[in-house]
Amino acid sequence: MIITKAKLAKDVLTNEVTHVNLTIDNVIYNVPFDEANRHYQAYLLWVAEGNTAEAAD
Amino acid sequence: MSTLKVNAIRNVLATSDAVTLATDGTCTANITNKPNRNLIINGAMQVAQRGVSSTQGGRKTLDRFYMNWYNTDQVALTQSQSTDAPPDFSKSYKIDITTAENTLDANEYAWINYVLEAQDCQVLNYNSSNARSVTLSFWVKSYQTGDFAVNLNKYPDNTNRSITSTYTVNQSATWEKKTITFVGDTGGGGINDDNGAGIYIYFFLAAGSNYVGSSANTNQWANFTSSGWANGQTVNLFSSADNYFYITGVQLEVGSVATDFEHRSFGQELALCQRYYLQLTLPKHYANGVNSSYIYQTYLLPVRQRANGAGSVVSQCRYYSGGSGTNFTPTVSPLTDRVLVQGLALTNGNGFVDGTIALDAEL
Repeated sequence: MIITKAKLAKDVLTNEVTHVNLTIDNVIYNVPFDEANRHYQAYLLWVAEGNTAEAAD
Repeated sequence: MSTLKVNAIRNVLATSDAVTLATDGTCTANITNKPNRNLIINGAMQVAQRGVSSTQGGRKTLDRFYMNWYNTDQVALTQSQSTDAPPDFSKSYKIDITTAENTLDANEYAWINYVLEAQDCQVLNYNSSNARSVTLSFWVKSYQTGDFAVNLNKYPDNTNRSITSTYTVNQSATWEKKTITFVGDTGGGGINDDNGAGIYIYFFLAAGSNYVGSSANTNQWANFTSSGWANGQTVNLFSSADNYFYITGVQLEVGSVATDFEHRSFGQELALCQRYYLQLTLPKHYANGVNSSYIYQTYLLPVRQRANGAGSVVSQCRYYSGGSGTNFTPTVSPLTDRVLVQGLALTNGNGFVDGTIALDAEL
């Protein structure tokens, strides 16, 4: 699972950052902050490698 | 018409009764082919929500199963749901080599993988003296004959433990049923009772020299060693573009007996698969008179998923805008039992027209 882009995203109702949008194999995944989610696990590893997601709009 | 009057029925070589008859006219039977015994979902390879064919690795075709390969240089292949199947089955998982690997380097390997959810493994009593054996049975058809390795790996919880065994394909291009019994793991810290990964099953298709040579994990649970991961694997599926491998009828059951495959209906298998991955086509809805830049709609899911899934778009989504459908990319926010679909920065949004999203909660 190779992440080519990560961007935090907000819920426009609450204006809180609620998930991260990951681009993997040219598909954008809206990934919740749930440690049981394998995409979020991959994101945490990606961050641990020194990467940083783009800020939310 | 006659009545057989006995208190029990036992095989002449057995040490316990198969059927015990009570004085009230009832009986208790020690049955091996109980309902819901197959711990594998989609073992008959019926459900392929993501698609039926792909040249990529990973979760691209059949639900719950996936194929991957690592560190290779030339190999190319197609993974697909096939209609070539043994008696009693209609589908199989096919791996077809289209470009061979010139040489299998030490660090190259490939497998088909299946992951059991941890809370479904509690019956195995691992990390106790009551640890139970499991029996894996499946049908395979391979162009190549020879030995293939199968590994069970208990990775995410506590100690990384592993056990490897082998089976032999005896005849080329012929469906053969294989059975392997794995003893229970009496050590290693057990498997957490949660919704994480419990046991990984690896059906090896190729393994470089880094992954064979050690018998530390052969037919016995022990701490994971990479050189024991695929020990006994002699077949290299990548050696020729003539090679292929089919598998179906995968069943894992508690005990040392391989019973007949437990067939479930397509609807049952689909619902079981949807705990881990599902696709949802946006139903049409129209909010008359609302011309908004935002649309929010929550949909209940047909099954409760294992975890909050990752949402993505499978086919183009459209919203109503002045009577016509306009393309947009929704933000998909799944919980385990529902999903919020949001259309943002729209022009005169009056509801959703169509489109399909996927929610991925796989292990």
